[in-house]
Amino acid sequence: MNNHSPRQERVLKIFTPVRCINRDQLLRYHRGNMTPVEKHLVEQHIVDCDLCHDALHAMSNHHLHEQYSHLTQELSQFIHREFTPPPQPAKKQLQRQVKQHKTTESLLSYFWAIMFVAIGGGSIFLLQQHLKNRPALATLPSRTTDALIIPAAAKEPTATIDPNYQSVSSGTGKPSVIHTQYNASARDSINKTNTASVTAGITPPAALAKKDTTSLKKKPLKDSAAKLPATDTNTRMALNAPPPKDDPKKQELKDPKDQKFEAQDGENVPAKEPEKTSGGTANNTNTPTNKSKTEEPKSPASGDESLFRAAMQYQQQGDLNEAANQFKKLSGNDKYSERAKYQLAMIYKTKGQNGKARRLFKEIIKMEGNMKSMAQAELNTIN
Amino acid sequence: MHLQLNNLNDKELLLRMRKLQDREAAGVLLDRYSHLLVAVCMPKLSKEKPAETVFPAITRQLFTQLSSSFGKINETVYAIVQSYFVKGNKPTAQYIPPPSQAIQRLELQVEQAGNNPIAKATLTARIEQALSQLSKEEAELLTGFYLEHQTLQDLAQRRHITADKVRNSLKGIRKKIATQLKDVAYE
Repeated sequence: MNNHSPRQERVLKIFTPVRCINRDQLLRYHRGNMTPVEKHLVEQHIVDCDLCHDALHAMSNHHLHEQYSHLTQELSQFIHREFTPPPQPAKKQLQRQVKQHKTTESLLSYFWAIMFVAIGGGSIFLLQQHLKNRPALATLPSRTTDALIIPAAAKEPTATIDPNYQSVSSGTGKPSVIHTQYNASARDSINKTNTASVTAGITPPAALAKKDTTSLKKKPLKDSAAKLPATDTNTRMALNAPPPKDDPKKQELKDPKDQKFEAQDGENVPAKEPEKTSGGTANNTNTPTNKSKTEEPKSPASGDESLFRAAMQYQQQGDLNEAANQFKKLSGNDKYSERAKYQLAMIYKTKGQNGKARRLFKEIIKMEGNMKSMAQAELNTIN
Repeated sequence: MHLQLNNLNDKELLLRMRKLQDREAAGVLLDRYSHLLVAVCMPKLSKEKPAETVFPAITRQLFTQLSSSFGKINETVYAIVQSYFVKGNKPTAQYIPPPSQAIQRLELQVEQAGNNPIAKATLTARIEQALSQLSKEEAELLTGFYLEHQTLQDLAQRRHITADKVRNSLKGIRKKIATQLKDVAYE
């Protein structure tokens, strides 16, 4: 931009835009601290720029220079404050942190909610399982009325009754009731149950005729009690004594008496009575043939018998598992197999293991023994 | 970031301000013209319009105006300042003439010609042709200022007029040439 430049360049400078003067130039212009070239550029600019022209004109008053510096500084600070970009990254980071924190919290809350539900569900399930498999001790009194109806086998010798167990009857063919340790009132329910089952004709004492039951009802209880005191010796004597064949009335009178099961109070041990055969004979135990039969297995089967009784005792005491073990051992025995399986099935039924109970009842039915009808009835009950 | 923005020219800052909503670019742009704003407004400050209220208000108006207006920034700043102080005296705003489109267009052409010798030669020829049509006084004034690099004070002293009158004359001559070249281009 000097006089030595070609005319073409200088002509174009007429319309060449020049930037506005800066702070420094604004003051130096009036102080005369500019080179001729710089001064000409400023003048070239102010020809076209009213703003710079007015600014230079205002700054020609030297009294305003101090105020100018002060106001310029303040305005710059104001602009910096006003137009400072917002700290977006910091905000974003803060937002991210807050979001992450919220996410973590929500995940934790979900986790604990799921855990709470899982623990609650698990505890409920365990409680249910516990209630299902709870030892039958608490519930036994109400159920044992069914469970303790023990059908005696036909071959069961009446003479093998333990002296500790006493019963009023001398062992007819009816199911004997094992009185439990829980209450004496259970006897009433047991008797009622027996009566009901007999009248329904479901239980194996189905062999018992209806007239027996009716006569049983007719027969007062005290007669039987008066005739036969509940002592073991008497029982044995009664068992050993041949029944009078020519006295059917007495026979009839004996039968209902025998069907009535009673036990002495305070006796926890079950009393067992021989079961009558399915042929419906009034009293097989009193016949000499049965007598000889019952005496035969007496000596060799005493171990199994004691095992069976022990199992029954366990069952009555509520130790179903031990009783089940004993009955399992006996289930292989030919003599006690059917009864042991029946009692085992009843234990399973009491414990709610109906599948096992059902299987055992079916086995009993297949065995075609004396307890077939009872097993069939129980199977029907389960189904 | 602030230093990088300081290296950008006005057009680039305006572009960032409008397209990216960059307040920092707007701040740099306003700060670039703040000293001129102060210098222009200082003689007009009064008790009714103190600096504490005038400058923030004008700055905010500028920010709003620059976001939408086109043209030179210095002209926008000057128009807003004039408008702000005229409003105080009169109920209606005074008409501010728009910047000459012809001069802006010619300046853009010269800027775009850059180092292109053909474009430069073409433009020079057109401007020389326009200069030949000027009056003798106008041609001498223009030649003395732009080609011989005489100062405004020198030209004013020779003609026994003020420097402002010389400036106004030069401004008028530039506008006349630009308008003439524009009309020639449309013909």
